[in-house]
Amino acid sequence: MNRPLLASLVVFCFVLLALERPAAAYLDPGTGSMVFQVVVAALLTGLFAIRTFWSRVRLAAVSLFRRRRRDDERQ
Amino acid sequence: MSASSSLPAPLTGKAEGHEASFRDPCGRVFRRNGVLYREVTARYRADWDQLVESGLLASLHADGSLIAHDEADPSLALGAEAVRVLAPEEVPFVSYPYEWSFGQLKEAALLTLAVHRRALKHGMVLKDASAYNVQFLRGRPVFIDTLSFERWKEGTPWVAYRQFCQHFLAPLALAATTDVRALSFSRVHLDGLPLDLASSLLPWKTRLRPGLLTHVHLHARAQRRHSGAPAKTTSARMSAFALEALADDLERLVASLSWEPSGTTWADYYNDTNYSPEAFEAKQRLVASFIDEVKPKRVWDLGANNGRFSRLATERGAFTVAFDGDPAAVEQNWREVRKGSETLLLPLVLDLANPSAGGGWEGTERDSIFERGPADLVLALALVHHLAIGNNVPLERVARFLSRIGTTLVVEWVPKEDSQVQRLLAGREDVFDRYDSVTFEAAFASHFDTVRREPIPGSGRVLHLLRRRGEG
Repeated sequence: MNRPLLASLVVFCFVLLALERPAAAYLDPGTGSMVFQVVVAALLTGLFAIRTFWSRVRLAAVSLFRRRRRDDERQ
Repeated sequence: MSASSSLPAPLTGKAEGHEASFRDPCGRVFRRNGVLYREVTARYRADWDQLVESGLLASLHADGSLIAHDEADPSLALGAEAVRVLAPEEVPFVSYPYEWSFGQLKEAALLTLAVHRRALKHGMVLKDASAYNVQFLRGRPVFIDTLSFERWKEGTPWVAYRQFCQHFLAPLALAATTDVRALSFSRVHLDGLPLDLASSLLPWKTRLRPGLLTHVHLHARAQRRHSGAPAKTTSARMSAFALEALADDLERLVASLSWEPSGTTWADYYNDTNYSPEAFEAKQRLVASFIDEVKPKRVWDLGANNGRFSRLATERGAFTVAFDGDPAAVEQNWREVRKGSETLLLPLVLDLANPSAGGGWEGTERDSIFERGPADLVLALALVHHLAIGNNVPLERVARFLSRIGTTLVVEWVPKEDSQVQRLLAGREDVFDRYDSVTFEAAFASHFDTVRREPIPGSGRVLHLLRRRGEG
């Protein structure tokens, strides 16, 4: 992770700190862990979206290819 | 799993709450008439409805990710606030994360994440990612806490993120990048390895791995920054998609952590013993005939190495726990279990010189090895010399220990002339004047009756089949 990214992450953490409200969980989820994961997940979402998109494209391509081949075999 | 099982007579017999079941007010595990039950309290009603109506429960039961249960008579409940009682399937042996090999902990971690991701798809979330919620059943990890699911409140982060990182990620990362013996740290840190500790123990190069940098090092720093603050969450919203992205990232990270068992003390053990192939075969035949004679249901093989003799028991239908102190041997054994889809063998790490003690609250939350027995049959093959000479334990104490954990015992006497004993004595003073067969037999005779005594042809060793005094 490069320096500007790390810096923006820390700033983001401070911003989030101002938005706290009590957590409702029977185990202490830990304030740091809760705040931190929101930041991390926000950063991960883009990557995950691209991954999900590509795996769907790949799946669609594979199934299209298979269908074509089946059709060819039938003919 | 069905709701229409035949029910035991209600309200008979004394009920006793499980010592480890007290944190979650949504339910409690207890025993009545020796049968294991889990009651569900009114507090959990809405979550239970969602669990059932969303199809999550059926989906988790369908592929064996979650322990099966029958619905039992609600009047069997322990407390007045219970609204239903479940009778879950019991695992044959409760094991703990500090007894698992690397592969076992990794599979438990991946199961936990898979269960959490399935819950997300059904509008729920895993509220508890404790490694103690996973057990091993029929050669596979299974999630055992049926009440660990709660309805996801729109916008909220994953409440069990910290717990997952402490219970699974930190020990796996340390084992994979530093030393596999780090897995035993969880015996001290029952709520998982604190992330600041893991962060300070991990090699610097792990900061170059984005996953470990994020979920361990920066996570630990964020915790430190907020330490002392009251438990709060942020009103910054976290979408279901973001929760999924987080779980996906953790899954990729755990999957990327690996450890190869090599350099094990025992890897070549069977190729480097006193045994000729004929003597080794004779030993196997004798042990098999002893097992046939005892017909045990539960066997513990101590110092099981790669589990060759344990499998003589599983081939005869006995559920067998194969203990060894060497994490590499246990890992290899576990991989064999997975490769062969074996259902009756559970390899576990156990140091016999310091076996798992009771732990947690009042020291009773986690059972010691003694409380999880006794086994119908204990195998102590090529073991006594390691305890008596390798660890200076008097033969009387070895016999007493073995009498505490099993009702019958197969024990192999290894004489001092044996090359394995000579190897243990090499380079040290022989202070073992009383290490002889007469003392050995006298020591065991004070706890056991002899059923059979068979010298192993082609070796100086003797196999004893013993029955604990007062048994059958």
